[in-house]
Amino acid sequence: MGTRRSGYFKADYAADLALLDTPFRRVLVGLLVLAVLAVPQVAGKYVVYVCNLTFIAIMGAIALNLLTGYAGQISLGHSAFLAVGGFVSYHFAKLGLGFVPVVVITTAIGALIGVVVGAPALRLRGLYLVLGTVGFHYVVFFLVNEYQTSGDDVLMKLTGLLLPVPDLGFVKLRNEFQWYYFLLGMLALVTCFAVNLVRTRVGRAWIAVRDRDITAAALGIDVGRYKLLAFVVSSALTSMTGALLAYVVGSVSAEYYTLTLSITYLAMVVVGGAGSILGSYLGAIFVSMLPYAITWLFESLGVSTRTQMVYLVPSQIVVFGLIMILFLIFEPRGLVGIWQRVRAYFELWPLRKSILSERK
Amino acid sequence: MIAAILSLSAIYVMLAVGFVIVYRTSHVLNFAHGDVFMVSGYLGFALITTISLPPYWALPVSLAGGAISGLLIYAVLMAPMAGHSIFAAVLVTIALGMAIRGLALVGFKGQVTYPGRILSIEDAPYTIVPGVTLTTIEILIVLSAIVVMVALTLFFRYSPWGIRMRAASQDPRLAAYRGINIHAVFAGAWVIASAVAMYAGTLYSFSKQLSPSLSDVALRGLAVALVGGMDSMKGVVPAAIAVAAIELLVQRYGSPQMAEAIPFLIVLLVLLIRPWGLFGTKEMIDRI
Amino acid sequence: MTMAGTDMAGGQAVQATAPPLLKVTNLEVVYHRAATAVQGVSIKVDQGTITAIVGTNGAGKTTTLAAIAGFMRADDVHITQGDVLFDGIQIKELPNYRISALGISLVPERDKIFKVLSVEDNLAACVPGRGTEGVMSRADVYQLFPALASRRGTVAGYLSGGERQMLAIAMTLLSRPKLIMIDEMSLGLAPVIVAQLQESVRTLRREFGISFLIVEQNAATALEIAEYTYVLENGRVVFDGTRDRLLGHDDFQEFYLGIERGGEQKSYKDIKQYRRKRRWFG
Repeated sequence: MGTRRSGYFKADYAADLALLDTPFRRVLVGLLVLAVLAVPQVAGKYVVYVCNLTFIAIMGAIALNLLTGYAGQISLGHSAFLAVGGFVSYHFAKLGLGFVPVVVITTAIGALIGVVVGAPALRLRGLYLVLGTVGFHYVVFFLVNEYQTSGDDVLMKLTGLLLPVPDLGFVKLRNEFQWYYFLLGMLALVTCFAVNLVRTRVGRAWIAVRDRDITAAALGIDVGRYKLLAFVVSSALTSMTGALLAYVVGSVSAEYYTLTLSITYLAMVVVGGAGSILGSYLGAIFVSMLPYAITWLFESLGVSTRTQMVYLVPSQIVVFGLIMILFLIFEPRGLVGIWQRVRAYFELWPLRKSILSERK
Repeated sequence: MIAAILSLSAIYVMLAVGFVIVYRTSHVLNFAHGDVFMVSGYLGFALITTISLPPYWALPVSLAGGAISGLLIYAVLMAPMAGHSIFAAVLVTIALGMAIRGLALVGFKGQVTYPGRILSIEDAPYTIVPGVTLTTIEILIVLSAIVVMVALTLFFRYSPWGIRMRAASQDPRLAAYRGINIHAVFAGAWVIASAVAMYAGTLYSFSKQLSPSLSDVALRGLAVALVGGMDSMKGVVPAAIAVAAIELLVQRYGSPQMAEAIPFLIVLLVLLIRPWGLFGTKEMIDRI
Repeated sequence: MTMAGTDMAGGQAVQATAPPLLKVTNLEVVYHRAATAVQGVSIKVDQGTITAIVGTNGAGKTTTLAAIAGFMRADDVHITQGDVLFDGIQIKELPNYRISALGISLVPERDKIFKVLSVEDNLAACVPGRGTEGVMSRADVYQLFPALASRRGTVAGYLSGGERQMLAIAMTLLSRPKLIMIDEMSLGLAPVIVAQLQESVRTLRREFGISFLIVEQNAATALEIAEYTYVLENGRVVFDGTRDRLLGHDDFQEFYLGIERGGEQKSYKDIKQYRRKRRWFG
């Protein structure tokens, strides 16, 4: 226990700025990184592919968490922005652009659309962003459908639009294992960006806007601008994630981008912990693993494969909805809240006082 | 064409009324509303086929069932959210909608059927005025919407409980001090909204079809509510007619897919130009 | 602390032995499980009296009234200690509408009327009392407040400050209360209006036997109308008494009425000492 942090001992700014504050934590995170790096060496192709999709989900959850968890704005347009990412990438890839410029352009277009959609809704207080993003979702859904079916290739309408294998210049991302390391790097970048963004002036402004917008305005924060900034950053990151998703899967197809997908991402944020980057990780992993847990449950109950096929997706939707409700009512801080309580319990043991274990 | 606009706008009226009532009393956007609408069609159909209930009996049953589910939704999910932010309450309705949608898929396997045809519900066409021909069910839909609108308008204007609902929506604290049981009032809003939605859902499934995409139809009711003004009852009818007319015109001259997206394009435009809607109170909108 | 029901100035004589209408004992209120706003306040309101609470901002006056009228679940405020007895009934844990039905009406300091409703609808929204002593109708209320009758169609948000206060009091009457609590009755109103309101309060007491608990910042205004006054400071009752007792009390004169004695002012040091003395012996 001696190496665990037992109080707040930070005496200078350098210590306060450090993300990993004790040697124990540094060792722990180091081991974790090594373990994650070693996964493709021991695991099969399928497991690595699932990991890749989970990395994508985490990036998407971080993007949404910046908006919903930190700035306190609900968006149901997440799947629409993923669709934008996928289809814009396809379009520019078809024009012959390489992978890196395509992703950059897609991200920029996502940001631009974020400004256009967010600006009218975010000058208003309250729930107008939800309305605006629902509207946006259906409009995008229609547009990408049109785009997909307007092509000449009949097969494309059924299989989705195929994307080329991305070329990074020094390596082509041909198989799951290469993708694994590439996505891991991207995830590390996104995480660093998000973690540091929320610790700066911008992040603090978002939290202030979320907790009480009137007070935030009184403190000199331009509420509308920071809300818009949150939406734009989130849209850009989401579009980038959408582009990566399209490349990993190798195709884009309109029917994937449903409103349910948006709600699934909201579920990741709520279940993991709104306003926490760690929460985005936990929520995305939880939600990504849920289908496998349900399949496993079906297997152990001896449900036939055909019945499984019919019921897997619906029961997944039910479980997402119910779990989200349970977390919202009983543990609004999500899995992170539970984790912090457990940690506080051990840090303070045996001197546990209930009021201390509830601290932030 | 006019007949189609009439019956579609009548459905939109019954949906938008529910969004408006709940929004007015508790400032919550109820995203489970559409799924309540959708699942009621399935439940009604299941009830009719399993216990061979005469089809039209399903209507009062769905009205009652809607009232009960509205009460349950409020008591189990919304009342515990008192003191939490409205955003959390909205997230709960989003999650609830998802759960209901999933349950409908599990229970009814997401089948697409045509109860009107299967149950061979008497649906003779009548020519109201030359050029406007409505079927029996469509007449019932339009009449129901009129009754709902008139009844609710009178209720909010003249009945003590209607006035109390308006009072509680403006200032719940003062309402509580003046002897109003605000939980009863809030529950009442959910009861009315869900009852009308379930009734409309059953009726809609009779006249059109039954499919999981009914919840998308209902979300277009949200578009109607926004166009009319989220807090405005009298905006509902003109907004419903306008949205239905535009939607059906686009359907005829554009494509069905485009028609489905049109109400939401209108949402984006309304947010840009006139976020308080046609008849909503401008003061309700706080700009930042 | 003796409650002197017999030597009150204007009201009907009430026997000193009669049980008090409202009895708050040792009340402690905590906000958000963290901040104690009221600590150990005890207050009595006798049948048919006008009682006042005075004190500066943050003394706990409003919290005390709100605690009596009942907190809302959403507020995250709780009575952690003490009793609130009304007519001998414990009303501490009851929801607001039950407390209102029992006969306590609170006129809050700010949002006291439904601003978007008409005057008529404001009155119609109030749940009528089911008391035995006859129901008060809207017509009766308009008779008591003729100024409101002429404005019954007006949206309440357009009323003047005095009219609002009048409407707010009129609204409470519909529930046939035995006790009306008014937070900051005279705040921001012209002296003429304040005098009118005080007259209405006296009339209501005389005609309907309604008791009043009035919160005032201005001690002089409170003493004009109240027979018994409590002084709150930092969430505690620091002293209390009848009008005569308070008027004759040196410290009360100095700190709440602003009367200087003998030409020489006490220094800041004396004030500190005074507060300390009170903390020890009060």
